[in-house]
Amino acid sequence: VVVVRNGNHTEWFSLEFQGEIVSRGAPVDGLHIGNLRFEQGTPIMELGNHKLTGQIVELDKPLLVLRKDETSMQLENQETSWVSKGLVTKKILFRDRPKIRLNN
Amino acid sequence: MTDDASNYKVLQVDSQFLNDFESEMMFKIKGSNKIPVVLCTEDKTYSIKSVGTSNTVYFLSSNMDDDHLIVQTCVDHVLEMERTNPKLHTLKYILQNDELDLDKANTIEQLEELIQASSHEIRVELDKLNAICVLEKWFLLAEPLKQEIMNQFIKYCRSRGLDLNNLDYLSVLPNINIDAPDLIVKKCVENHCIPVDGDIVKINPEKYCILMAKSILQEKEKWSKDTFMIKWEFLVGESFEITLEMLSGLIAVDENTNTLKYLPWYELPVNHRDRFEILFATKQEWNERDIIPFVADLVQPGVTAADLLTKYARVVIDENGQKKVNKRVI
Repeated sequence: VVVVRNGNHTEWFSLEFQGEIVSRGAPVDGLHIGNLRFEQGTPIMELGNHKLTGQIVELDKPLLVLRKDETSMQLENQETSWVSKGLVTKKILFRDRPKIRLNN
Repeated sequence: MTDDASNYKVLQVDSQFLNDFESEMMFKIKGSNKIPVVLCTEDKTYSIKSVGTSNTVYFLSSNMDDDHLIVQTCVDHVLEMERTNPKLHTLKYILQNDELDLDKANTIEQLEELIQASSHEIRVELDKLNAICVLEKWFLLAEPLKQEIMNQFIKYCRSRGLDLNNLDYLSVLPNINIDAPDLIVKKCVENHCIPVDGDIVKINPEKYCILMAKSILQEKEKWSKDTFMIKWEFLVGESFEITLEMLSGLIAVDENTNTLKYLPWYELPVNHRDRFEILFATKQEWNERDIIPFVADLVQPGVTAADLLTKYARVVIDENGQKKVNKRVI
């Protein structure tokens, strides 16, 4: 499998949640997951009626995100090649238990 | 989420790898269910393992300052990579081609598909094995053929009083009568010479002496050291100076019985434990400097020769301050 560099790597980042986020029946594509904001540098995520407080973590080792090359996927009898899409150097980690949001 | 997770892979990398990727613009992942998967840049090999996570991890391509952040994918595992030794032990078997059949030989690109190693590492190994390249195909010539070619070549040169350090080798080749394609003979001679200027070469003394030593060693299992040295000196002739150090990694010398045995490192098992079993079956006690050439190919990033000796053998210091290596008693 050949992996090709796709120009300069754009910076991606990741959101990491302990546990699983599930959609109750609604299709996942295009689904609005929640709102992310920062209060004095602290990331706050609002998911439904839950509020999660996270922290920005610098990764010890970056993560390189690779994606199948769409052109090679369409060609018959050709091994799929991959391209690099982005580099993740930080993540927002939500480790604490979510709190219930009270409506004002 | 915009995309199927199976279209994505996430690779944990280090700064050295990123630098290489930036300049080389590509890398390869090789392997299958039956063969360990490795990642190869131009000159390095890494092992890969999949590490799962029970957390939900979303990857987003947008800037953190954007109003809408779009999740591109969610993966449940990351591929971790670690620098490792290339898997080169099958190369010599792939290169063996006693019929000298070009159709059965492989190009460097084909070898890269077959071997779990980077391009540079394969080329270094080809050089170590003294493989020859004919019309972009790689061969490992059988030792008897190489010996016959070089024997005839040197014999002719000496019979004509030619200077072995200043040879127009192309003018000598037509006088060599070997049952092998001319191109193979030419490449074999080139392999044992050092370029001087244009078509003028000199015989590579080390390669030639080692080749001749092998022709003697392969005659029987064990030699008296003195008999071997006399035969070897006679065979290579006065022009070349021989030392047993040239055969480091190829012979095991028993100082007690003053004998030596042909034991080429590249024919020893790849498995570490099996390798040391054979070494200690050959000789109960080794000098550290003598055993290291037989395990040098097992050294890899993070594992030194000293580490291997500590793990698979017992190292003691004798009364003269010399490090001796014995079998580890379990």
